[in-house]
Parts: sequence; structure tokens; C-alpha cells
Amino acid sequence: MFEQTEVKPPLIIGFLCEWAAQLDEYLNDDGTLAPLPNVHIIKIPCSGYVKPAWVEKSIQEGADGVWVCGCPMVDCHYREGNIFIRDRMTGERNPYLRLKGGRGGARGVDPHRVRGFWKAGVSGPELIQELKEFSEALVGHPIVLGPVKPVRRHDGPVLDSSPWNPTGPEPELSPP
Amino acid sequence: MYNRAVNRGWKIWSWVDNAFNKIYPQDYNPMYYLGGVSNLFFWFVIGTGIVLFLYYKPSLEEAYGSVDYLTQQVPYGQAVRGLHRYGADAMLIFVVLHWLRVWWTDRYRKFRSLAWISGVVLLVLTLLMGVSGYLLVWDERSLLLIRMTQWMVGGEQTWLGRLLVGGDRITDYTLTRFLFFHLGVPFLMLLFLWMHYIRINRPVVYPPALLTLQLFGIVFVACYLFPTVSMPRANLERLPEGMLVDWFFQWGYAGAWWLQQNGLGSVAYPFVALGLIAVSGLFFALPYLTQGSYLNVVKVIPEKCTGCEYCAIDCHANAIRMIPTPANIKSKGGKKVIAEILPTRCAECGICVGACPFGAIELPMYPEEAVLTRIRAITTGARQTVAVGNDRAVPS
Repeated sequence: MFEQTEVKPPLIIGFLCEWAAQLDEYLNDDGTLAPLPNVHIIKIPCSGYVKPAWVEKSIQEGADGVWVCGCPMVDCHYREGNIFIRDRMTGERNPYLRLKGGRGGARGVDPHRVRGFWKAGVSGPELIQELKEFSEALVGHPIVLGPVKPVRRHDGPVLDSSPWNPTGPEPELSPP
Repeated sequence: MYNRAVNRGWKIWSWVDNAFNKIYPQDYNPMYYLGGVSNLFFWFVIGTGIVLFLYYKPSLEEAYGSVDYLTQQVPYGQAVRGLHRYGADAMLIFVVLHWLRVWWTDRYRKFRSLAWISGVVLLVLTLLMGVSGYLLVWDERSLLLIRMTQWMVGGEQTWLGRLLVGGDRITDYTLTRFLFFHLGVPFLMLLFLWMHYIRINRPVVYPPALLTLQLFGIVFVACYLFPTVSMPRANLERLPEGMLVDWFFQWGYAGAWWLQQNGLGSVAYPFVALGLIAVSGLFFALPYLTQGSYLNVVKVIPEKCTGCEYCAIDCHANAIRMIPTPANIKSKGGKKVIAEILPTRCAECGICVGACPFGAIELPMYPEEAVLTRIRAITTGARQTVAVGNDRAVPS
């Protein structure tokens, strides 16, 4: 008899702005979160420093989810970094993140695996709570493989499948 | 100790932000538009002030009467006067909040020092502008304030005291002088506002319309709940016993008065004045006293730069400009320009790194290679632990 196997916790990489939510007291020595050891954190000077290519790279290397945490909108310590990375992750600003169903076509990153959090300094516990939800949402999320042929139409709705609306429908892939 | 105090202040502001974020959407949070709201009320006060100026007569005989006429006879005169006064109070509140926020959230040093020192000048000018408005009404408060200001600069018959009122005695020219001062300071403030914005790419100088309506609404309600009143007309023969205090602008005078009553005597006035000047000087020098290093200024890799200008567009501090490609570098792209960093303006934030699609710009302390190595280390490390985890997942 097989007993029910434990669910493998998803591997999550997070880019955390040093001016946004403070997680120092929850960090292990190896850069993982103490309450959520599957979340690895890379500290960066500003959320605008993140290149969309790094998000794609993380997913390609085998991470199950990637998040970026910056200051609340409008209140970026460096004025506009969080607005830029938000717009890049939704594909509205160059260089953009290639999202599946969005500007990335069929080979892009699954939008359910990318998420942004905009938290002020004292909301570390809130961020951890939302990260738990993100982690649970990623458990058992099927790895959607794109169709073999590339999709021709690239004008799919970005907003419905964007990480900012994770409850939205799966991005529709037009038939080859 | 200073750093710990500022860090404590940052926690306070972060907590306040969070409280407001529960009420407002993030991009309508009034705490994120303190500077813009200050500018909004600046123009609001100028607008109402123009209406008041149409009715004001700067002479000892007619000044009090003209203000009285405006308040009693002119339609909505009372309201405009109230808006002018409470608008100025609101402006000062938001200027002070903006100042404390910028200070405690560590947004005043290094590349922001020009904005900080012009901001300190703007704060002092705001206070002077507010106080000089009270001198024009020519009620007992005006007289007392003029006398107290004279005591602050040394006495009624010293050269500074005589310079202030334009002669040995208070005459019609005194009010003309104060009117010029009250109107001239805003023009000076325009100059310093220009300095305040010059280093910012895309400055936010007004709050969203919804916040504007809310704040104007609060001022309108205040001016109907607490109508502005004049004290009795000033009498040059008799020094008033006391006055109504506007605690926003006249706390310095009230404090000096209190010190004078409680032991210091007439030294209290110059003491308070010198104290305020010393504190302003300290704040003026603050960005230079706490200056940080410029070790992490970004570097352009000219061989990779194609001159696409993404970094120059995204830089919030105007620290990147495009220059013609030097002759010894083979230019990529058609534009024949490359980016150049102005080091003292650089914020060391890395926004330009995120904007560059070609990897042509690097933060020395956070190079892109380090981030990629970290990502690789995390994923390979996780694969190994996953393998171990799979072994353990074999049913026992």
C-alpha cells in the first residue's frame, strides 16, 4: 500500500526591494524564509532593478514561481521603479516579460507563476501571508506546455491573464 | 544614534502609510502626494490672494476698513478670506509633513541635496509669507506682531528695526512695504520651486483630482465652521495686551512671549530669532553632514551600448545623458550616441540596469552575473534536495 505522498513544496524565487517590506527577522542564513523554507529571496536595491530576463531565466532553470516585491505604487523610494517593473511584467513597457498568452505568445512564462507584491516597510507579516497563498496556488499547478507550433496572433488580452489578476481565466491559446 | 532615530522615523511613516492604504487605493494615498498637495495649496492661496488684493488698500487709515468691507459687504468675501487663511494653514501642514517624510524616509541626501536645501528655503519662505499676511490686516494683532518682530531683530530703534517698518515710526509706507513683502515672497518661491524640481525626471506636482476635491472640501468646511475674524483696529498709541494666536504661523512669537513672561525678559525675542536661524542653518547643512559614499554609481559598458535611450528615459534623477559615440568605440545601432553617467546625480538604484535590454549598464556592487549565479545556485540546490526528498517519499 502506498500512503499518500507529501506534496513537494514549489520552489519560489523572490526579488525583494530593500526599501519595501522588511523580512530580515524572518530570513534564514541561506536566504530562505523561515516560515516558508521553499521561498528563496534575492535582495535588490530597487524593484526597478529587476530585469524581466531574470524572471524568465528563473522559470527556465526550474523555479515554480517568481515574485517581485517593491514599495507601494507611487511611493517607490526611487520614484518610479515599481511602476516600471509592474508594466514590464504585464508587457506594457520595454523590455517586457514574455508572458504566455500575452506578448510572449505561446512560449512565454506562465502568468500564474509570476506575481508582484507592493508592500510598505512594516507589512512583512502581510507579505508572508500572501506568499503562503501564492505558494499554495502553485502546488499542483500544471506545467502548461505550449503548442509545438508558435502562435501567430500575439494580441491576446494581457490584463485577463496577467499576474495582477491571478483569479482570472487561464490564458487562451489560439489553435495552431 | 542619528541613523537609528531616522530609522525609527521611517518605521513611523511606513506604519502611517499602511494605515492610509487600508482606506485609500495605493495610488490615491494622500501620504504619497504630500509635496504635490503643498504645491496645490500654494496655487490655491495665490488664487484667493488675488481676489483679496483687488480690495486691499495699504494705508493706516483704510487698511482695516478695506478688510472689513471685504469681509462684510463683498459677496463671498468672508469665504474668500477664510479660504486664503485656511489654505495657507493647510499648505504649511502639508509642507511640514512633506519635510518630515522626506527626512525620515532618507530621501534627502546625495543626489537629492539640491531639492533638500531648496526645500528648507521654501519652508522658511512659507513661514515668512504666512506671518507677513497677518501684518496687513492692521488690527491689534498686526501691531503686536510688528513690534515683536522689531524686538526680535534687536529693538525698535536699531537699524534693522527701522529697516523693517521703514523709518522711526510706523507709517503708511510700512504697510506698503509689508504688502510688497507678502506678494514678493511667492515670486521668490517660484524660483526655489524650479530648483526643487530641476533634478527630478517627471516630478509629480499635483495630487489626483479626487484628493484635490477632498482637500478643498475640508478647507471650505473649515472656513465656514470657523469664520476668520479681525481683532479691534490697531491704535499706535497703545500696545495691545495680547492677541489671538494662529498656532500654525505664530508659534515662534507665542513661544518668545511665553519665555519673556517666564523669566528670560526681553532677551527672549532675539534668543528665539537666533535659535530659529541656527536650526534652519543646521537643516540647510544636513545633507552634507550625513553625506554618503558614491561607491555604487552605475557604469556604462560603451561597447554594448546601442544608444536606445531607455535608461535615460527611465532615470528618475536625470543622471544619464546621451553623448555622441567617442571615436575609439565602434558604435552599435543607428543612433551614434551612447549613455553617459553623471556620477553625483546617480541614485545607485539600478533602475537603468532593469531598463537596459543589452546589458550595457552595471551596478558595481550588484552585477548581473551575481544575480544569475544566485538564481543558478538556488535552482541546482533545490534539485539536489528534491532528489533527497524523493528518496524519502518512497513508501515505507
